[in-house]
This record gives sequence, C-alpha cells and structure tokens, in this order.
Amino acid sequence: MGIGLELLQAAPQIIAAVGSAVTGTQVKSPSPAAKATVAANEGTKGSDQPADPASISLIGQTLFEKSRGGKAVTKEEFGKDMEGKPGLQKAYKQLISNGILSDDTGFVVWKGNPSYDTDERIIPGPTNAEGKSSSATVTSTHHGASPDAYVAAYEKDFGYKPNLLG
Amino acid sequence: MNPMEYIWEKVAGATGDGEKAIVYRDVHDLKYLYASGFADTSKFTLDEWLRAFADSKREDGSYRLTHPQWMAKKKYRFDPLSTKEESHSIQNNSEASFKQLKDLIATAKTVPSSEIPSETGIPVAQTPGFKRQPRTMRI
Repeated sequence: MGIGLELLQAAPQIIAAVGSAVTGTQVKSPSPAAKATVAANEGTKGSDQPADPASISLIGQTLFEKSRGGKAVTKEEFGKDMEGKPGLQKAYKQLISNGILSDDTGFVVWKGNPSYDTDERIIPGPTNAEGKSSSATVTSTHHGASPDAYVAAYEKDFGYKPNLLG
Repeated sequence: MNPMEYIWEKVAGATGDGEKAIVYRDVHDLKYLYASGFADTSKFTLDEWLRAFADSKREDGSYRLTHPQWMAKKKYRFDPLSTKEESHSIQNNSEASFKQLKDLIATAKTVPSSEIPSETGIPVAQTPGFKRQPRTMRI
C-alpha cells in the first residue's frame, strides 16, 4: 500500500518559507519590491479577516516539522520564526483563538487528531502539553492505516523512526 | 480602496522609460509572493501563478508589470473578504474545524522545494537529523 507522505515531505520547503531549517541550502532573499508587495498586501487585511491558506498550512507544517522526533516546541522559538511575518502571525493567532493550537504552557501544542485523510496523506499529529510530538500515535482506526505502516513510511522518508509517545 | 490599487500605489515606481511599474527582480520574487500569503494557494498552483506573469518577463529575467498587468493578477490574490464564509476560515474548536484545516492542507498546491526565498536569504536554524527531500512536493 502506498502511503502518501506529501505533507511530511513538504516540510523542508515550508520551513524554508519561514526562513529556518534548510540544511545546506542558501535560499535567495526576495527583492525590496517583493517584500513591499507582501507588506502592502497584509496592510489591506483586517485583523478579523481569515488568514490566508498558505500561512495556515505553514503554521501546521512548521509545528509538525519542529516537533518531529518528539522534540518540544516552545512558544518563544515559534515566535522567532514568525517575526516580521504578519501573515503567519495572524494564522497563528487564529489557530490559537479557535482552539486548534494552544500555547498557555509556554509550549506550542497542537490539539488536532493525527490521522490520514481520505487520500492517505498524513495530517500533522498533535503535540502534547509539553509541545512534544505524538504524531506516531496513529492507530488502525485511522482510515485503515496501521501504526506499523505509518512508522515504516516515516522511517523510509526521514531515515529514523518517529518517537512513540503514546 | 481596491486592495490591488492600494498595493500598486505602495509598490509601483517610476522606471527608466518614465512609466510607473512594479518590477520584480526574478522568478524567486514571484515564488516568494506565492508562499507569503498573496496568492490563493488553495485555488492556484505555483505553475499557474508563474504563467500569469509570462507577459511581463524581460530578457534579463526580471518582471515589469504595468498597471493593467498588475490589476490582471487580482483573480490570483487570496481575498479574505470573499472567502470569509468559505472553508479557509477556521471556525470554532470542533471536529468540523479540524476537518477544515485538514482539507485546507490537503488541497494546497505544489511548490518546488528549496526555491522559496526566505526573508533573509539565510537559513536561520538547522534541524538535527534533517533529511532533504529533493522531489517536488505537495503542501
């Protein structure tokens, strides 16, 4: 069975987009005109308006990538990645205010359920109260994908087994 | 003011020929715009986005957009007002909201890895054990 790992594989480019964790790769800086366009675009949006889809995805995937291997993600660390990026900050606040993320403990906690969607793409798993990933706690109830299949696919793509935090 | 007009007023400048235009340095700028909340990535792929600028490309690889060319990009822009009631808006904490988010992630379009510029151009941090995936991926 081919388990789609597009989301997991996407993490590097998403991290690149927020300016962190691009091992060995120098990414090009945008020109002043491009930066001004993004800034002006953000200026057209009200604080009560929904965040853009790219930023929402980026938040979820960034948290997933940072918590990979069970690593705790602090609010401070996450905040640094979002500095100067109003679109990401808005998406983050939106996810916090709607209870999908929380950071009350000082760690960024993902409260969604880990699962596969109907196309068997892996959706970011939750982080626990300490911000540690429990992405591998997938059970056979998740669209029929077994934990073993998940771990095997994860290891194939990332080179090591995910932490099983239970 | 129309958001596209507002951005035009903020960004466009006089060019060598005396006309006002927005000039992007190269294709990396366009990728940056795509990944930074300007484009509606749930509706348009990166390829579609880049193709939309074909008529603005110059021999040196830069892109020079006149006012009509800029305004023609309106359909690619993520408009929070028009989508406020649609799936982009994450609702209250509920199973439905989690499903919304999953759908949003699953339907986001493809971006080539490693080619999205960062703000600084310099990797801020490196993840231990990070294994780069060279393929084009879906976000």
